[in-house]
Amino acid sequence: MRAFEIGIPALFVLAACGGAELNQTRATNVQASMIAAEKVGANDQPKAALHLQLAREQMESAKRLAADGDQVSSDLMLERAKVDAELAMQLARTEREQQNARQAWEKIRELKQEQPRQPGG
Amino acid sequence: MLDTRRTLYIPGFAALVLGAAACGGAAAPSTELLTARQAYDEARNGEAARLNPTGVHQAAKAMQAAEAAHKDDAGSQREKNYAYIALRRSEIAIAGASEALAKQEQQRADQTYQAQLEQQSQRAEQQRSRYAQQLNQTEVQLQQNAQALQQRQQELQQARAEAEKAQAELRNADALREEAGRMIISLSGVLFESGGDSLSQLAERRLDTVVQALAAYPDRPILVEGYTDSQGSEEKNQQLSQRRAEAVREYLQQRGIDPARLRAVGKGEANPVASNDTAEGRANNRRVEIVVERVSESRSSSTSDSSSASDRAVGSPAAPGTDVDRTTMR
Repeated sequence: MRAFEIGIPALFVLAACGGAELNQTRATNVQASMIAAEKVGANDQPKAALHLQLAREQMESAKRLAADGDQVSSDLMLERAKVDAELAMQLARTEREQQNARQAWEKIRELKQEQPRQPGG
Repeated sequence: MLDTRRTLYIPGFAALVLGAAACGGAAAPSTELLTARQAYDEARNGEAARLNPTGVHQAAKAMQAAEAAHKDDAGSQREKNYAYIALRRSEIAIAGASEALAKQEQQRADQTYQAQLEQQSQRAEQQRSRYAQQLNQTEVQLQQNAQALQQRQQELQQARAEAEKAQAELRNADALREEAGRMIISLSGVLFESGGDSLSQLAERRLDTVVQALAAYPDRPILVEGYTDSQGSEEKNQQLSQRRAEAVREYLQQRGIDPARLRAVGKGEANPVASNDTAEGRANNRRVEIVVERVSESRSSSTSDSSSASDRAVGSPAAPGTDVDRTTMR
């Protein structure tokens, strides 16, 4: 009984000194978002690349916070990393679509130039 | 996603709020929260609300979390983290709307492109159709031309055959001869009533044969020369021969010979081809000669025709080198 009364506070102390683990589910989600952003070309666009970089940095911060035992802040940092990765992906997709639209109009312009003049026109 | 205007005035606004809080008011929101609020306003009031409602909804939820954190613990790191997340959610919503807009734009461009292509294709088809029609018309025209040509050739062949037949007939009657490239048809006998200038039926029949023979020379000028015997005064004979030549010219014209090719000249009693002492000789001298001239001599030689054509009488063959070498046939 005595030994038990001594052991529980000791466990709490040990836990406090050993730190917490990174939330693996959230971390995996962040990784997936970062990979998705890279796949749509986020690294090739300055603005998207910046947010991807922020996501990576925040991932590292989340690891450090977890290691320091601040699970709540670590989770929040993972959430921040996730939205930055998502924003990077969204920016890359937007840029790609805008480029496609520009190319489509350029095609029309070229087509109009190729058109032979109408007689009497 | 945020413009510089917002970035500039947010710190000032935040300072104002913080100042108010220091004076005993409610706790001031962090700069991060203010920025998030502004981005969210932009998202929900802009195109994103229409084009990306899901994104705006997620931004709203994130914004609620940030506001809750502010309410629980104003100015805390927790509030700032949630505000950061809310800001990014609004930015994602706005960027998502821009993507949707770009897709719409591209769709519109694709439709325009297709319409243009179709228009071009239609124009090309119309042009092709026009060309095909023109080609068809040309082919029909060519076919008609070929048929007309063939018909014309047949007609010419027939005319030539008839002309040759007529010429042979005239030759057999000793009425046709050729001299230096010119064909001379001499008609004598009972062509006109005595002292008159009306063509007899016999004369018309013989002239019909002449017309057929002339078909072989459609472009050559024709000179009609009238002659009389020596009975009566020379002046009257001259006038009579002129009228007779005119009568033949008119008949030939009636039978389809171009009047521009025809001339008539009266020669009177000149150049007899037989003796005027006998009735037979005089009958032969009362004649009409139709001279088919060479194309090259046409008008220039016509002025001297009265002498050149008349200078050759019976027994006096044309001198070498002269235009006409006449052999009268009767």
